Amino acid sequence: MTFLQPILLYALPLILLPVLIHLLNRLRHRTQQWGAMRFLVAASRSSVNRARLKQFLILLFRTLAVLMLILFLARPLTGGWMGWAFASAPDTVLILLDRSASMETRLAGTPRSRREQAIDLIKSAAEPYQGYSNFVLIESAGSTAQTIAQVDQLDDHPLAASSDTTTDMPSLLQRALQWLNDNQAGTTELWMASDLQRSNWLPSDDRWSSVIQQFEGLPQSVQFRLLAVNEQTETDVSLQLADMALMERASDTRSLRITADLFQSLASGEILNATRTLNGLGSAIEIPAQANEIRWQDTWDLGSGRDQGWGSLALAADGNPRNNTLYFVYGEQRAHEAMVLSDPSYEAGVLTLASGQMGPDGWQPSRMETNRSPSAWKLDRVSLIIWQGTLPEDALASDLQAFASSGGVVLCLPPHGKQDQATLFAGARWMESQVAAQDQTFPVGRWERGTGLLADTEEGFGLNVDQLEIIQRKRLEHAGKVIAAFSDGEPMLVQQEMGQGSIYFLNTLPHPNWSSLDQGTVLLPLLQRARTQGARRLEKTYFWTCGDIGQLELEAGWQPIEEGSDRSIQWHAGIYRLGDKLAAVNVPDEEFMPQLAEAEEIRPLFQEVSLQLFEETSGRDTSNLQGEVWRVFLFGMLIFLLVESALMVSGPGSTAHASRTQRTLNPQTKGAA
Amino acid sequence: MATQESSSESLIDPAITARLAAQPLLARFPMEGSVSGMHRSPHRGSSVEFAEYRQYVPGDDLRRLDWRVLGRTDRYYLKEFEAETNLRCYFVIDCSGSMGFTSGETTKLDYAIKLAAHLAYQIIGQGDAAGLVSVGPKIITEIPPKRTPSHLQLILDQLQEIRPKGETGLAETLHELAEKAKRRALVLIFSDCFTELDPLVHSFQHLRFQKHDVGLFHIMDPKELAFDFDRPIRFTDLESSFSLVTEPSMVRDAYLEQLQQFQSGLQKGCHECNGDYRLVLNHQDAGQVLGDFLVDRAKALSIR
Repeated sequence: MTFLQPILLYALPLILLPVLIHLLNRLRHRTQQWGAMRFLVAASRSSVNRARLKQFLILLFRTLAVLMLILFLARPLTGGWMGWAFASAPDTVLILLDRSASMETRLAGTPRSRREQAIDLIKSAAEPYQGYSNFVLIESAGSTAQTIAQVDQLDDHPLAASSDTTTDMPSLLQRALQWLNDNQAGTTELWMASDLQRSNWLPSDDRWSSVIQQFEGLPQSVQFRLLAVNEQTETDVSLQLADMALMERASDTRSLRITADLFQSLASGEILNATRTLNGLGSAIEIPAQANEIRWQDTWDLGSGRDQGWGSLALAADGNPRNNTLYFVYGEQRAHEAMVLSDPSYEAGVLTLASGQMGPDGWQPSRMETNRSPSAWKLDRVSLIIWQGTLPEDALASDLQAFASSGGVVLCLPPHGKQDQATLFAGARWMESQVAAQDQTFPVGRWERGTGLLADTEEGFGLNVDQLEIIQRKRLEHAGKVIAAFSDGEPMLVQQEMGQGSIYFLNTLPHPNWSSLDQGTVLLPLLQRARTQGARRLEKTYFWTCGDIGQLELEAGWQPIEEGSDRSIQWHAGIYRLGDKLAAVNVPDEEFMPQLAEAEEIRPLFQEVSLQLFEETSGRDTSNLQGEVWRVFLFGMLIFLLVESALMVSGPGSTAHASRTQRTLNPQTKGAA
Repeated sequence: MATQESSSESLIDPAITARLAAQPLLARFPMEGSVSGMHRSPHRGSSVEFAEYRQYVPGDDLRRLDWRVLGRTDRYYLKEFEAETNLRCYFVIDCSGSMGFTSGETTKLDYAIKLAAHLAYQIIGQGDAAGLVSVGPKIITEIPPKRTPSHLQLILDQLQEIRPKGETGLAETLHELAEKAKRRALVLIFSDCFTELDPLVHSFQHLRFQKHDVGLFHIMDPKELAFDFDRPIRFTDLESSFSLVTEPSMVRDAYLEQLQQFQSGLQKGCHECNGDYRLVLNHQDAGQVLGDFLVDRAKALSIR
């Protein structure tokens, strides 16, 4: 037997309380002068055994009642027949609702979407549990958990409405697991309502086994029920943006080349009607659709004048209205450059060279600025500031932080020389210099290869960070995220996120006395990537994927470009505007992969955890389930209290019996004849 | 218990005496008095109550021959009449420690004294003789029965001196009394009878054997009958230094059973020797108790 609140077991010594009270009560006796002592002595001789037994039983039942109370409060879990018999309705039903774009596909012959069908299934399944179980909705788009008071009103719940997001089933389960751990729920059923889209469930994902193992390790009983809505649907055509290119033409006019992928669930061989919207002006176009999958390309003349704009391409309504429209924004490609703030030195030269870019006349080193007054800098095109030297202070520091917050990147390198500086900048400060022993280097132990400045290339080649020979470094105190670290645990490259951009700290210099960074194999990609990353500062147009937008952007106040639209950038695809910035939010790629998994394919993912299809409603699998059995202990407590009170009022010394005896002893005033 | 300061008159409640005045205390069996009175005597006497005819035997007083019978039948017969004599009554009061118990204001001993005082008043008032025996471990006071009004004062004074103390030697005293009282008498016992049952019943039988009329006022306190205590209590014996700590609820049932057994045994023992048993509680109205007592005796006599 296990407990959900094991800390309450520390209260177990309280079961001695009735005994203590009894003993204290005995100590509290008063003295009574008594005449009829002979009867009392005889009575205590004759009845002491029976009365003691009764007293012992009363104490025993009181103690057991307290024990039951404590066990009941500790919320015990048990398997076997007890768990089955006493946990008929689960304490909690976690509804994991897939509200990805694919769930909006209409079922064949009905006007209802898969999501609406799923909600209907949930409602009918919830009916017998209504009033007994606690319903919690965790939906796929926001992964927020919310308690549902009335399951029959789930249709109108904002968190169960349609969305253009995708679903990541393993992470949704991870979220459910976290909720279970946070809330210490008792017996739980997890109802997964989904269309089993393969790109959502990711059956080959590595996370499945670890998530399911964690579910298996839970102390309480957890049972999964799969509400699969993978029935036949209406035919569907989807349109996905593959590429968009802005092309300059002669005579100062520009054109836009749109490449879109078109998927049809059933090849019609017809020409599809579509609506093209460009900066709010719509026009009808035709798209020939001979095959199931076609790539379609069109070039649209933009004329001259506007340097940024937006548009969409929408197919006529079909089986799923969510994947019919692609959105795009375009803007002027802005050149961006790096700026090195350093005194002229060898390493400053290396840095300007490595952060430069190809120009019309060959490789152009980036600008070097020695003036440390921000007013002298021209930051119009700067996306990366490389700061070498003692860390900035006061106004200078806030200017650099503001630069980073607006999306730029600042890379700080340590001052040349051995003087220690205690200046704190963006949560970090340079400490003392460390020099490796003779013929020794500080080897780099690990670095982030997935994303970021030191990520592997798209082709999969890693940067030779581990081959760097670093003989001198400055120790760094920081509060950021370590991108690369030495074998001894000291950080080498640290990222401190700042608004939309970042401030990086690299604790060695591209100088032969410090490291082999000046050879460029690591430094060049690092600086080029930093410069590209900082270009966000200069951008005005963004392409985002619905459901994958950072929290900062969600809170920034993006508004749909159509006036009065109730779209939300968090959940709906479309064009959004924030000031002079434009963002196109499109349906995630995963939602354009219509392949569905079979329920039998899903079942092995759950290993030993009980998974039940919605259709298999008869009987609960109780073989090794852990159910909450607090009811047993509550009943136990009540029964013990009842027996205790029955013992108190009956048997030897009871009130009823005493009054009967007393009647016979009442003085008889009638004299003997 | 009556206080030291109170006078002997305070023992006698005029309301009670007025209530009892109409009903004399009658002996249920023939008594042997010294003078004539209202009670039956075992001897033939000169009352108006005809008893029997008896054949003349030489030595009989010729004056008592029934001349009418002789004249009519020529046989010698004597006509005999019932004798009526006075009553001698002993009040036996148990003064053991247990009689000092009360759950209210009047101890059992005080109550016993009150009953005895009023009955003594009644008896001497109707011309019978009253005596007093107070019993502790042995006889404490013994006043032989006399019928003078001044004797009542002596009895009342003695009653006021009685204090509850020590164990009781009731049975031994009754045996002693049975032997000591030469003539038939009414023995009224006031006690809680907290002593061994068998010797007590034997002493009743001894009294009866000596042709005494036995009446027992079994005086109890309501608390002793109910035993309704809740908390653990140390019970200290009133007759010795013995004490006992117990949980009343644990022993209550057995206690009541023991008490009932004793009481029914006592009642049965009393009835077997034609004794007059009555259980009285020390909170009952004394006038009522005594009135019932007198009326019951008179009724029993008329039935007989």
